[in-house]
Amino acid sequence: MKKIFFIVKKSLLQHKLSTVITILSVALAAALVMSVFSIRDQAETAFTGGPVGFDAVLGARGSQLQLVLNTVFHLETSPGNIPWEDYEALKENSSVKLAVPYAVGDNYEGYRIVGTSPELFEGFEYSKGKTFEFKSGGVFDPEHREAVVGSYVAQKTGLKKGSKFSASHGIYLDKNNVHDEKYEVSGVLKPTNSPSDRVIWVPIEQFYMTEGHVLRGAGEDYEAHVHHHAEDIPDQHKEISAVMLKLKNPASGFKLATQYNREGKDVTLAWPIATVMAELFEKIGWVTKILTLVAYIVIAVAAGSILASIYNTMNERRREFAILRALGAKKGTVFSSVVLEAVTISFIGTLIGFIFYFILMMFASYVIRNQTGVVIDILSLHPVLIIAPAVMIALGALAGIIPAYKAYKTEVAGSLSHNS
Amino acid sequence: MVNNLPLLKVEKLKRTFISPDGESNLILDIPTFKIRAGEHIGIQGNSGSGKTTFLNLLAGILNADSGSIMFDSRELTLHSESERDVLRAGSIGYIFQTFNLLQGYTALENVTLAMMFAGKPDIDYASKLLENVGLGNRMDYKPAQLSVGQQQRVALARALANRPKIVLADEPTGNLDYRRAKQAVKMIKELCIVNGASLIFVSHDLDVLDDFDTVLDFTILNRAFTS
Repeated sequence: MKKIFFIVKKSLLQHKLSTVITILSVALAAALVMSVFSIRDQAETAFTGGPVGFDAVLGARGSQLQLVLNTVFHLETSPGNIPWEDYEALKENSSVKLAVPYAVGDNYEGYRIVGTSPELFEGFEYSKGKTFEFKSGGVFDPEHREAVVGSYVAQKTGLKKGSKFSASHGIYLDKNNVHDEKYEVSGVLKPTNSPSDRVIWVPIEQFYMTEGHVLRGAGEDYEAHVHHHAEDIPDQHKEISAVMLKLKNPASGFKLATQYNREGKDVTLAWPIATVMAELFEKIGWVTKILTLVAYIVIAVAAGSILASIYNTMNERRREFAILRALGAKKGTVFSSVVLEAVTISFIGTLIGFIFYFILMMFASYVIRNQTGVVIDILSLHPVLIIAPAVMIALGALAGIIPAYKAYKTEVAGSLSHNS
Repeated sequence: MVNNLPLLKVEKLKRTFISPDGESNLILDIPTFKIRAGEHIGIQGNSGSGKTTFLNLLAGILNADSGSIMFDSRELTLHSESERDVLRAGSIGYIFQTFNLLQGYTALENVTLAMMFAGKPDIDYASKLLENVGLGNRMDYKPAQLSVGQQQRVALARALANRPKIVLADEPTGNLDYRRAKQAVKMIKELCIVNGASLIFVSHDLDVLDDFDTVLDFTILNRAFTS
């Protein structure tokens, strides 16, 4: 075996350029395949299987998916508003453990501002058993124009306890549409590695009492900014984007869904959230199928490049194989050395592929976190991290068989080119 | 030290080649040939007379169509290709006209690789062999960095690497001028004597075979050529 490794080493060094290029193509292929599968599954798990803290969301009549994306993941636009009384009714409902109002419509430097109640910071679990913790400061006082800032927002904007800022109207940054009122940061949250990190939370009453925010809960325009105290806003004018719900048990969800999702109702209950999100992945299933197909093609191309790189050297190496045979190398030794050469290229390529994989994952993780707040764990172990390298090495060996057979069949005497 | 028993004995050895137009051509017909252990034989023959084919048959690189090659009490023609590979690696040293050194390997690696095929790599001995042929300071050079004469000496060291019982030298001086050719013959003979190896030295040039006690005319030895 030692001699075979020696021959392989010498051959790889002798054809450095093609070896390096082939190794890089294998590395990229392995990295791409591992990344595609890993990111796809992690994203799917994060969006559908991960604990999102709430069991259900009640919002305006429309798409459950849009409702969940808007409220849980802070993406997309709000499908509309619902009356405050729906929130009050749910708060009193025996099936509901916790009901939290959400009102969206402003942003600060592109980060969403969500009007809500202080209960969010007490009863809400962003992950199983984990409630929000403050890095500095504490919960806002609904009587004051205060704000709690998510860790990512704080990191990106530099907001800290005591900072003051003005919100822009709308969910996208528009520097020409800034409200006059200034919020003061009452606290900064510790990182949760969830979409909540990208949010600024403000008292829902202060959200209402912002000039330019028109309440239409009672069917007519009502401007709450004229008031100085939250309790002065009549409930019938209040409206909210959604009510976030923690239910007492799964049966409660079924009961509420039956109650709210009937025809003729003006509201929609998105429940269970994981199932709603799974619909998203069903809808974009063709994208992942194409990505998977591309990944398979890339693997095939990489295997082909191993075959081509070795096969292309076969003519110049025919004499070398003949010399090895003349020195006493068995046919099997020559065959094995070519196959092992292909395997070595795939093996080294796959190892380097892990480096590329981590670079790709870091980049993807950064982009996904920037866009959605969802954190991809680049160190997460996925079966593809074992399967892809194994397949790559097996395909490398397979690709080596054709040139190896050619080497095996080398006609020794003829290839040594004698003259007599 | 020459032993009276033949180390290698050839009888009625025949080999044909199929020409591109499908015609079968007998190119080798050796009724008898033998060499004793430690004996050195020079063979003179013109280009195309079948000398290389003969050596390839003796080395087990080619298969005979018929006849017998008895080497070291073993009938080569009855051996499988794989068995002949093992025998060649361990007992037969081969010096080619064009040396056939592996270009990607250093002088030392060329010699040690030959040892690996015989299952006995010994870098110290390989180094000693290269020192003996005057290449002690060129061991890490690749063939392209060596002169023709130096390449030939690497080929000689490689042929002797496994302490073979016989060395087959196929026109190893063909690319050298007369003076260097004579020096090369002298060195090959001396090293074969030191190693106790028999030597079959083939050349088209009768002058370089001056130092051999026995010189055979291949055109007479090979009946296929004479007929």
